[in-house]
Amino acid sequence: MDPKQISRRNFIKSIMLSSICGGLPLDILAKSSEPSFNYIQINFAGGPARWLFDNPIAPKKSSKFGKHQMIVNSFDNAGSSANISALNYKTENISGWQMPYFWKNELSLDGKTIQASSLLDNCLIVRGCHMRNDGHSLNNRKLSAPTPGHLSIPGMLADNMKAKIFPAVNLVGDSGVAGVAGGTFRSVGQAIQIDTPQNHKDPFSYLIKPFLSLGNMKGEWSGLIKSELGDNFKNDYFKMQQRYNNLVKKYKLIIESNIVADGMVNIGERKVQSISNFTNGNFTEDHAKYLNHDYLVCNNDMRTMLSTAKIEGLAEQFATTEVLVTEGLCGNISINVNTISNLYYENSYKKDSVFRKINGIGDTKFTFKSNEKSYTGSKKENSFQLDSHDTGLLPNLFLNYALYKSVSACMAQLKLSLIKSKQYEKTLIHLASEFDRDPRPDCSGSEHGWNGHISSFYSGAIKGLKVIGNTYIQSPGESYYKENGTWGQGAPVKELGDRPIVYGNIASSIADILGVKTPSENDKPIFYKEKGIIKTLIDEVDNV
Amino acid sequence: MYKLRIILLNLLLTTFSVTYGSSYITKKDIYLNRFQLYEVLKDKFGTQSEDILINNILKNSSIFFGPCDIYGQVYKTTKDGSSVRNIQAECFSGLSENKINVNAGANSLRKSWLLKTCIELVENDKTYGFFSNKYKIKNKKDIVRAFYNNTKTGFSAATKKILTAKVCSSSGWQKL
Amino acid sequence: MKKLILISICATVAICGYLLVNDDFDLTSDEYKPINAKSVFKQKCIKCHSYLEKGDEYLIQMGYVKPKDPARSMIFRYLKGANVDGPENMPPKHDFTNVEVNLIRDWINSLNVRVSSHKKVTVAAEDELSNREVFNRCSLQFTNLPSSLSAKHLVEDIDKKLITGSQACVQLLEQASLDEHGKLINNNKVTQAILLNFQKIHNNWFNEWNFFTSMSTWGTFEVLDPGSMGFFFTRSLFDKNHRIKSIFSGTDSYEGMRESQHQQKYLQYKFKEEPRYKIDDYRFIYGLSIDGEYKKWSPSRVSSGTLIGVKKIASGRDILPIIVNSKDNQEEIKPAIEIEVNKDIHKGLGGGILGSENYVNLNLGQELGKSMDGGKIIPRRWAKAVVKELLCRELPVIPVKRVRPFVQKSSSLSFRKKESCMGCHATMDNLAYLVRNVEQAYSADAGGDGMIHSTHLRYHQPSTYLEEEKTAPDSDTNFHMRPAYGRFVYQDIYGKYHNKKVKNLDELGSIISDMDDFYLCTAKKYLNYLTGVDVSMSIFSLNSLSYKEQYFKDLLEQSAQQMKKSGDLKDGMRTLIKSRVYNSRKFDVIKE
Repeated sequence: MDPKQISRRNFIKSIMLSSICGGLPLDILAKSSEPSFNYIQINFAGGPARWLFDNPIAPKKSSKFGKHQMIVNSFDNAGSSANISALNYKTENISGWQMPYFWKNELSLDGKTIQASSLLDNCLIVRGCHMRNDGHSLNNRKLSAPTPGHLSIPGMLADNMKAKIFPAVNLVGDSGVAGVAGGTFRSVGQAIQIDTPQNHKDPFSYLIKPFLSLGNMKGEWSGLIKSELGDNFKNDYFKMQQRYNNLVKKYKLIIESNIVADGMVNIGERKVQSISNFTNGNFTEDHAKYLNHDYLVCNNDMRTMLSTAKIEGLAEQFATTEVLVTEGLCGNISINVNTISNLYYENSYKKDSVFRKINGIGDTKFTFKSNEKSYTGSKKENSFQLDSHDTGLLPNLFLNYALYKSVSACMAQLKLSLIKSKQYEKTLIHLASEFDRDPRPDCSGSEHGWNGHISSFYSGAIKGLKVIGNTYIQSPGESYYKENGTWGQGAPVKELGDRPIVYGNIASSIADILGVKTPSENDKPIFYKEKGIIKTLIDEVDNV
Repeated sequence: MYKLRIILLNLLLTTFSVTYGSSYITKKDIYLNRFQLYEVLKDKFGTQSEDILINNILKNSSIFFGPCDIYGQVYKTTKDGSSVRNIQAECFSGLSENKINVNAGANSLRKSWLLKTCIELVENDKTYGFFSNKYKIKNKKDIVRAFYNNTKTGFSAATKKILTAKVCSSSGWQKL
Repeated sequence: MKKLILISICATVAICGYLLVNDDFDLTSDEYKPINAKSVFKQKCIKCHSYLEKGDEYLIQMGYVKPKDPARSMIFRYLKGANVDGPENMPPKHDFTNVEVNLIRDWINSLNVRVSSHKKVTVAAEDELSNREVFNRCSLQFTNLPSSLSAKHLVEDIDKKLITGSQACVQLLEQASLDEHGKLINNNKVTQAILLNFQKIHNNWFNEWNFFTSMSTWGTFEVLDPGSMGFFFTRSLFDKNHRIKSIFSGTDSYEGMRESQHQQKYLQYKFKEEPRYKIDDYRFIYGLSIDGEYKKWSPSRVSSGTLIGVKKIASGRDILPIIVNSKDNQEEIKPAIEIEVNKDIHKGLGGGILGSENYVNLNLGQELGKSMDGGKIIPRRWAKAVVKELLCRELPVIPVKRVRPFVQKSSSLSFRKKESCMGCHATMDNLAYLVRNVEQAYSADAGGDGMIHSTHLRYHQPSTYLEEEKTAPDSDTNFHMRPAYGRFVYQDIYGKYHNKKVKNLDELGSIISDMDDFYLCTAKKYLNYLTGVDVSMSIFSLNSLSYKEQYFKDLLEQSAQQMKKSGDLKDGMRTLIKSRVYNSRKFDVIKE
């Protein structure tokens, strides 16, 4: 036999050996990519300002930042009434980070209070992300599908969650489905996403409707149902529904307690007077600071604006999420937060009747018709537009606080439940909106800050509080207002080759945590999961 | 040297079995979508079954698939607002329904909804009566034959009604 | 275990290298005289490629050679000196003489086309559908109805053994033919269902559809139908006067011909939870407002009702006199201005579907009012959509060695400097240049209460004073005014490389409609619809396939070739419907 040749017997042995060896690695590779994480996206479609909440505009003590009249969060004057001219931007030191003063608040939860900052015990904030183009739908949809039209993160996660009864659930709010992240669902396999009907009053019952109906069928049918549905019908859906109903009540109470100005640190502690008793010509530019969308708010005390405020559907959305995740029915949920409605206005005027814009954005002139009737009352249409173009300084401050305090309180309640069911360590909660906002010089509102998106993440796998991403102290351009103070416009990061973070980096990071393929292959992750702990790949954070 | 070649060959073949194990063909089972299911079940259970089928199947586009026809929607005024004249064109959850897959896949919710539908069809005297008359149901074999071409499918149940619901909700006849 | 895999890969590379550099192979011999292809193989190839010893039948079946088609035969393409744009790197250390190359070419040309291997597979007996079952299947797929309701007469013919199930399916499909005006010749519930189902299938091939999310104007739904891309294919499928090439040529657009006994009273788009908008409460507007008043426009609304045909939109039917060019999101905030355009909103840019208003509008991917600059701002999304949706390919589609000429180290754009980036951009950007003369604009600067505005394309007529650019610019403020030349940089699925200057979209359309990739893509999509089987496009460039892979490859090639030859999409469908796989219960085949 030619020494170069191999005998048939040895060749066959080789084949068998390699078959055994070849079989193993595939299996191990498959296991290593098996997802172990739940994903809950809390979506503020419209892009409300985040600088009062989870966007620390001066994250470190040494951070320089440019002040803007509109980015303020505390009245620093003495006396029984708050003075608008004494508004300032204040921070609170939390784990070495200078977080917005909001975090000094206490959250009311079902008979007890906790520090809002406890949410930051396991929090990663990514700021200064450049979204490349303006546009609500374009950018909100990117939050799940960074490459338009391609696979979405929830879609790919759903492919791996087919064992769950609901591979993906989209709790639809005011914004509907098509124009927001939830409308981009696209999976490789045949995984489905259930979209609850827009603003459905009972989303959980909608989801489990067939099981409830089948569970109500007694007698000869119960045997058939059990045998046909097997494991899917093992759950006690009636018990879950009862639990859901109780949770809705709980979350409603939580929202009611936290949405009011009473209890808000600093801004809720004193009367904040609005403008009143003006006649023709007695307008100043300061009046723009009291605009809210279609009304000039003239409440005697601005805090009363929130006395009848509601966030429709939020309690139901959180209750549904809590039951779905803790009962193992679903681990892939989108919550679309509705706006605050039913604001109370006192002696207020329709905006169009009292002033008009000249020369486009941010340049207002005022007129007043003395026979205009003022309005006092509360109705659903009195609302806070999350796309707060025309929400002036004072309403912006109170309404954002109310929104984020309510949502934070709900998140804190959800967190407790996830910890109890040992799921917090393997759940990633993602607070997202299209972008932050670029405040107007006259404080009459703010524009889209498409070059300054912020995402904050909450998970037991994140140890401590970390902030990453650079922003400009003063905008160099490519935004509505140049040199407008620090609001969060993304600045280059050296670790990314001197360019700002883009959403693809965030998407790749989320994909890594969730154990799915990234939908944004050209963008490297900026945080990742290693042995169950989330770590960051970039550490830069400063104002430049 | 000879043994080294054996070892190298093993490693080479190992690599190949890892890297070339995938196929270029993937196949997904396709099931009747909501429009097809609606027509088939309406044919079997009569026009009286329309309400049951609309509420359970036609309106569940994310579970049973089948895109809507945006411009097929001609609206009429109703007491409460408006509704679509041709319900089969309706985009129940919005215009994005026009991009749902034409082909339906299997999922656990499909089974639940279909079982609910079939039980309701069977419980309804009119629809079950129509079914029984159409297929001249005398015994259990007739029930199976109403959905499958042969009767050797291994279905059994205590009563004809239960068997009908069982066969109706089984996946075999729904596969295209 | 991951280390073991790494070692294995290194071992593979080492072994290959060992084989390549081994001087044990003697490629020259005093006795060698090339007299035929086999003698050449024996002398120069077999030592490394032993499969070349096997017979012609084997080489054809395995895809190493295509009878009478040297340019597409793998063996030939690898030969040095073959000059067919192949890799041409064999044998590695020596050359082929012209004589040897010609001998191999002649041999390939002498081969007879063999019976496709898909006739050498069969269906397991228990899986074979009866004719009735086959017809019931296609009846449900085409009409949503069981066969007893869709075409009872065809069921009877099947029972009488006059036709097979597949033949009945084809006849059912034929029923939905359109006349010269685009209307169903036989207009009934069944044919309407067939037409609508196929329109839905074709509609699903195109990703972008939402005027509101793509362009922020819900009103656009009232004047433009997002399904219009699908109509190009639907018209071609059912109208024998519209061959496949018509999909890719001209500036005409199509819309659904619809009928309804009732008048449409409401708008299609419903915003949030508000009550549906009544048509009588809304009017189309254009231009800027003067004291709150807008100019009234009266375009034709997209018709509503049952789909009964596909018609060409008459040229000049809906002319938009003025567009509003809003320069938001620029460094300086400029007020919106009116621009007189007198634009036919349905007229495309050429190339049929490629330049159709909807396809470009929905895939432009740039902000309102942004002119193309040749660098960062070009309609790349449109280019990607063309490659993905019409050719079923994902970028990059050119091999690494072809990328280098497109790299511009001196560019200020980071992606132009890197080969890894230019692998995609070389194709994408050069294609996108063909659509440089457009940008999006509103019909009016605001919509809302009682007023509808929509988004359209503003066309910049190329200036005769501007020449085409010499190289891809980093940023050229005149780019959008230059002649819209582009380049088709693409390696097709069989490995043929294209790098051709293209003057306009009609020319691009002509290239695409001549390419096998398009027909294979279309066949693949139809197969997926009919059977749930998805065949990767990579299969067409492989040789060593399992019998099943070979079967599907041959089936799709046959379907594609039929469509290409006749220009009729129905021919491709017929091939698939008659295939063994479609007549199988599980859509599966086994070896005969």
